[in-house]
Amino acid sequence: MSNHLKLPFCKNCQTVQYPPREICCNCLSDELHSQEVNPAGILLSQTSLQHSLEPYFTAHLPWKIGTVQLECGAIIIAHLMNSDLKTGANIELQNIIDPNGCACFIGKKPGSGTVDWNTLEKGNTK
Amino acid sequence: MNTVYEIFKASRAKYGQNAFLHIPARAAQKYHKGAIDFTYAQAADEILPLKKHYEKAGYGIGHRVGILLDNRPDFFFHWLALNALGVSIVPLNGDFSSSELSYVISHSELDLIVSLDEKRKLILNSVKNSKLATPVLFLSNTSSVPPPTKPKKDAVADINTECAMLYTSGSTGQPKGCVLNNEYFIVFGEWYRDLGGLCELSPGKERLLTPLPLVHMNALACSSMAMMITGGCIIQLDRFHPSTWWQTVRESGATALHYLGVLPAILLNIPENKNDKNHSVKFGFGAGVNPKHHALFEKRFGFPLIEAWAMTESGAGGCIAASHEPRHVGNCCFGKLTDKVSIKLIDENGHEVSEGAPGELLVRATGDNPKYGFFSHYFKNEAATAETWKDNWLHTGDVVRQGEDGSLYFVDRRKNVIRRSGENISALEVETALILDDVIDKVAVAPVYDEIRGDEVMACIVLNAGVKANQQQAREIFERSYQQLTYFKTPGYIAFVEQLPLTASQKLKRGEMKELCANLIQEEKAYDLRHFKKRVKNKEAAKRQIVKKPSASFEGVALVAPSTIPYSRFSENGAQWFFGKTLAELTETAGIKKEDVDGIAVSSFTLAPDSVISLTEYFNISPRWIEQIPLGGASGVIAMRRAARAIQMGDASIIACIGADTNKPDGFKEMVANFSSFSAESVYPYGAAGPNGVFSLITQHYMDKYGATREDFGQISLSQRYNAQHYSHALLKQDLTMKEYISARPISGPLHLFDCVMPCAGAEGFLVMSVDHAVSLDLPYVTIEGSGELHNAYFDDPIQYRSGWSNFASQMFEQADIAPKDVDLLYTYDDYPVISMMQMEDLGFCNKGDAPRFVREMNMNFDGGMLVHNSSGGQLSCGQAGSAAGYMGVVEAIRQLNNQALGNQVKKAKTALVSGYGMVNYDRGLCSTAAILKKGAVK
Repeated sequence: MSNHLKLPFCKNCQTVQYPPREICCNCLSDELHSQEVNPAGILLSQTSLQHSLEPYFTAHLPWKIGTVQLECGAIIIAHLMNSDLKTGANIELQNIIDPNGCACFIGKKPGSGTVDWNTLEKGNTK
Repeated sequence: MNTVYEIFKASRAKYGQNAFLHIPARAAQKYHKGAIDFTYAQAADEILPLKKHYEKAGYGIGHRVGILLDNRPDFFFHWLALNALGVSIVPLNGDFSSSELSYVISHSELDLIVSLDEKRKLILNSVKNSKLATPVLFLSNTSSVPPPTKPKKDAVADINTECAMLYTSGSTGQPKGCVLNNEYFIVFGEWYRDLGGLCELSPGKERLLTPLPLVHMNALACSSMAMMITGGCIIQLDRFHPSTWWQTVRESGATALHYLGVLPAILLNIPENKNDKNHSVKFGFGAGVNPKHHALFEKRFGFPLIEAWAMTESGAGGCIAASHEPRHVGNCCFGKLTDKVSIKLIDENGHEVSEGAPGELLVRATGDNPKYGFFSHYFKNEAATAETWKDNWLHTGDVVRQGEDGSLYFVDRRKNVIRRSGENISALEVETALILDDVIDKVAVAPVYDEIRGDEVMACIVLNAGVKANQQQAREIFERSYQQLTYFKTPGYIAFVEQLPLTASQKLKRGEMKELCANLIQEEKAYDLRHFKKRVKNKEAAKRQIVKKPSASFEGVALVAPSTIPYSRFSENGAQWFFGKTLAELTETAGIKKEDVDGIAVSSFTLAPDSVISLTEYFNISPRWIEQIPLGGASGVIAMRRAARAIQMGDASIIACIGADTNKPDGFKEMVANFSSFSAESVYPYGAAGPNGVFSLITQHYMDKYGATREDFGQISLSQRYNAQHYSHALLKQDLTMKEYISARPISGPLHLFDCVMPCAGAEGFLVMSVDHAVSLDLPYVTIEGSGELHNAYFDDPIQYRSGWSNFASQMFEQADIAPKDVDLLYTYDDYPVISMMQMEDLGFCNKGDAPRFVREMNMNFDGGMLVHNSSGGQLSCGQAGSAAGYMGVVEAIRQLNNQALGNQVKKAKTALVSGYGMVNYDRGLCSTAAILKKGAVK
């Protein structure tokens, strides 16, 4: 599987940092580096946006997002690929570039292969 | 085979390429990237060089080495290397305090300690305190082993050689060192291998997962030996992590697992999931599952939980397990005897009990050697050894009964031991630590029932004469005990009593303590400190999390001149205009000139690029004290708190506190897009429009966790709408029915239109001055009776369901000398109804998770005659005028308490509680604050 998910970690105390920052939230070291993490996590909560202030999303409502806890402890708000994911379900996180060129995360069913934005758009709004 | 190492060697020869050890990534993440795996052959490659180092340095039989290596692979490697040389190990608990470790180090007469580098400070300190010069070998440099001070014995390691010494908490004060020889370990492995029934082990195929610590018998002798002797894989976790438990179980390919009662209790709390049975576990082996959970767990997760009885002293020699049917699930049954174990049940006088009656369990091995497989003795404690082994029976202290079919049932513990989450805690040890406290005259400690952890530690305390018995006192005693004891030993409950139950000879009646404690909790006469019992990384962090003292008194400070500038949906005016209008209104109400105002505290999202200093020039004032509070919904209460201190200290004499914001079309979008750096990068790109997205995640989680419904949230919105209809400044006054609330336009997930506030323009303000000053100006005023604030509280909670209020609420009420039931008016920060509910819970108006019921049963209307909630309609019905929303509760509370309400006067209101919450920086609000306000005395 080619899903190499990376997050910043502190070199000094190995604490994961999310959202990204320049100083370790645990020990205040500034020696952070990107490290591959297990993309497996748990869906803690999810919602279906019916309203947005951004034109792209306004045109694609309803849009599903969720809070995912990765095994490494990071809590990540992510786009959701599948509309039938249950809270508490196992989920796999993947990096994706959105139409604005912004790197972000999508959550999907484990083992469902790499997803591109078009697939996400179809899966999410279904 | 004679030693543990020989068992390992035999499996290495037979199963060399089989997995020996697996540490899942989550369990290893503190020190290693990814999972850790060793086959038997690879493990041998780690063990042999270590063995050589120890051998070269001169270690052998007669030596004892302390092992402080947590549950890491190195633990196994060092243990086996030392065992090969006949050296005994003493596993050291890294959670222990320095004084506890010192005791073990000196009592066990260690020749060497092997330690993790990160425990350097703790271990060196402990050695220093033990007044010994035990050398310490750190993991980063295991090749240069310091030589032992005494020579090894000239002998060959055999079945009787000491393999390990484990410290157990007994009924007496200090822990006792259980000497365990090689036979003890080997018998454990053989016992498990031959157990059969539901616990059948296939040689070379099993993977046994355990979250238990290697400093205890269960992981060290039971699960490890079972795998080593059958060529299986030990899956050793660092500890129990509920959120990733099943994922770890699945990914590690576990075929069996070990548990304590706390594990099913917590796992059953996780919402059901279609993957619940998706794993390869055949059985769980453990003890203490709550009878209510037993069948539920087995049905839901699809494997049996095999209950067993054993203690460090009994080893496998006296171990009994319900590995065969009938298991009598849900009845605390731990199976029947095999022909290898004999038992006797005796009463208090030492006589055997009648059939079926409960009695203390005595065990021994059947056959010639009653001690076969049992511990050897307590180190340097012949008296205790003799007492435990009286009449050739091991006296266990556990009370057990035998059913008609021969099955044994656990009833209770007679010994004075508290069994919390698998840790045995000696009541006497806790008492010994507590009695040293300066404020304590007498103390008795006993176990009380805990749904999750089995037992919890409770202390009944007689205080010295003149010492105040209150929550604060309980907290301080708890904190001091926390410095002395490992976290799990500290009292989870403290009750202050007039006297302890004593016998005629002034001895404690232990037998009555349990019932007394249960009653004290039942009658709510005990302080619940359980949530402060945290296993934190170090005690410094623990100290930081604990608020030491309640705020100093706010005595002598008055709040006057509540002022509101009418709200409008949009405004062409700048924020400066709203500040100016408020200042004019404040001074006019108070009958003073603007030059009399010598301090200002302001909050605004739309004042930029101006700030508080710009306003001084704007209004030509020269204040000697200024402050800007950019804390959103917490701004009003915090501005009040800061201003009160400035008044008390004399830094200013009249301070205007003002929250003001304008609202221009599109202004809101700009604000939310750039609210914080985290939010701009990690929330906004996901389409979440302002806080709606984040709060719908929080709301959905709260609904899932506590079963709240949309109708429950509707209670808050509807009641506030009713209040708004009687308040002159509210923007939203049209009737709102539950039907309209439910069917309103959806915004995000469970949030619909009437759960979300309407952004608007407006301002709120009040003046802070001394009570004397207010009286001299003939102004009605209110006083601050108690208050607190805490920011970024509970940052470890994956999703917000509580905030800092729960940390300071009890101190705040104590400072005000009232209870939640004495509050007439409650002002919560109502950006979303779920947040109001959290405040009701955290502030103590109802229990956690109970707010849905609370709001259903409560009439919160201003004229409902019960606890009035957000009497002006709050932001939900008045509109959210940016930062002014954080001032709204304070302003309305002052108005109400002074009988100056604008159409919605609550009758006879004397006490108000105003709460603030604000600043969603990423996925939750970070600020929490609150204050109790009281109508000023008429002079």
